[in-house]
Amino acid sequence: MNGQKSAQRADAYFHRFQQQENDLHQALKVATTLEDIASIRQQVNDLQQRTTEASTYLPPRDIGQHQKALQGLVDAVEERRGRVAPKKRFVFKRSVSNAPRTPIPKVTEVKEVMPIPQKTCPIQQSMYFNDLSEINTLNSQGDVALEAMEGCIIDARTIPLTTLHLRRLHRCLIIALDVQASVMVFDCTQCLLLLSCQQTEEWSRVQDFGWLQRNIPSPHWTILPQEERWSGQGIDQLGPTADVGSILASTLPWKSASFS
Amino acid sequence: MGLLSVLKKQRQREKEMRLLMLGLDNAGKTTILRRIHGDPIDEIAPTLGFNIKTLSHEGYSLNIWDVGGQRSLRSFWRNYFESTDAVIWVVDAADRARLADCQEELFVLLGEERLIGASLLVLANKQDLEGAASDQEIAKALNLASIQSHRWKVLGCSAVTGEHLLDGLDWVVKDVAARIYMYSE
Repeated sequence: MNGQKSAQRADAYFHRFQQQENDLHQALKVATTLEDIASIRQQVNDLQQRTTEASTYLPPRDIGQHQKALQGLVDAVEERRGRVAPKKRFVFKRSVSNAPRTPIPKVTEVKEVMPIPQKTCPIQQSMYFNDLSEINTLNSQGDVALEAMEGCIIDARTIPLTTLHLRRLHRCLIIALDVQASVMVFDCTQCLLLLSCQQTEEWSRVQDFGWLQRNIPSPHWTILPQEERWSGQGIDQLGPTADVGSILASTLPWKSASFS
Repeated sequence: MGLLSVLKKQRQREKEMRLLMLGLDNAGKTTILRRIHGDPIDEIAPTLGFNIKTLSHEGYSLNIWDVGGQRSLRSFWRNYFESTDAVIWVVDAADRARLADCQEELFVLLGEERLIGASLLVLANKQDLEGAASDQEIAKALNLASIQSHRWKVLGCSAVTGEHLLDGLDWVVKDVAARIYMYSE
């Protein structure tokens, strides 16, 4: 008796689930704003929640199918989010614009050159900052996120920060010598980063998540020999007139000078 | 005697628990594991695979699995779900910028069929850092109140000072034991 009832409930849930799954996929197709997508994501979470609750009477085969469908929905949401806009990041106040942006390419390794789509994203070019009040800080706790900049110098050596997020920077010089927690660097190319943070003690033991072969060293990183390292000369004379191009040319290893 | 009670008897004899420690990269999972195991914590690099430690606590033998949290590794988490008694979700409370990311990953996890019934301990780590979000702030940011599928608890902790780590283990052991061992007839 009980089994029959369960089967009926499972059957009903199966149809309800399929209906909702279809609806969400349809909604996703026409979603154009991050808010739409967030609300769809919430509905996916709700569906997941209901499915978890229903799993007391669902047969394993159904649970498996629902989980698969849910994962499909989650993937579709992420894909759509990437298409509508890159993940919301904090950018400079001045660069706030509604221009369409391209999604942030996902990379798992540091590549030498990654072209930055100049026309479609608001890039701060060739600016010098030593006062972070001009920057939209994330919160009052001292978290700062810098995104989409080219040829800029950020001199925050005396400013205490909690976390620092760097994203899509190209040919920039970043100095942050008082970071309490972590520095997160994503998609940055040809940059010189002078950092001191909680975890720099392990700087020379790089775990390359894009290179799992143990017996062959990762081609993605090397430690410069002592004599090729930059002494930091001239760092005290940085100012609004400093030329980031020549600083990079004289400090970055390999062919950096030939890029522009 | 049904199969369930046979299994319960068996586990009771072993007095073993399997705890799975997950969270975003740089949350402090490995540091927490090493701290509660009494290992030095000054040389910890990102976890490429997993670490496992067994320790005894309150008469139980705890197998704690610590799995790397980098985005590229998260799809492997599922390989560790089987027969997990409790999930310890570690949050870098000083990294407010990724709390949304953190919530999303947590809720995907809670939807996992194989984790149904596991207790959930959320550790708001790095309380030693100024500006770290408190346990209550983390509960709000992760929307823990909406969780009905799992029994959960949130605690502020610090892997560096050791604050509240043992309290967390106490809760996990008590909660899992109440579910698995006391209910056996």
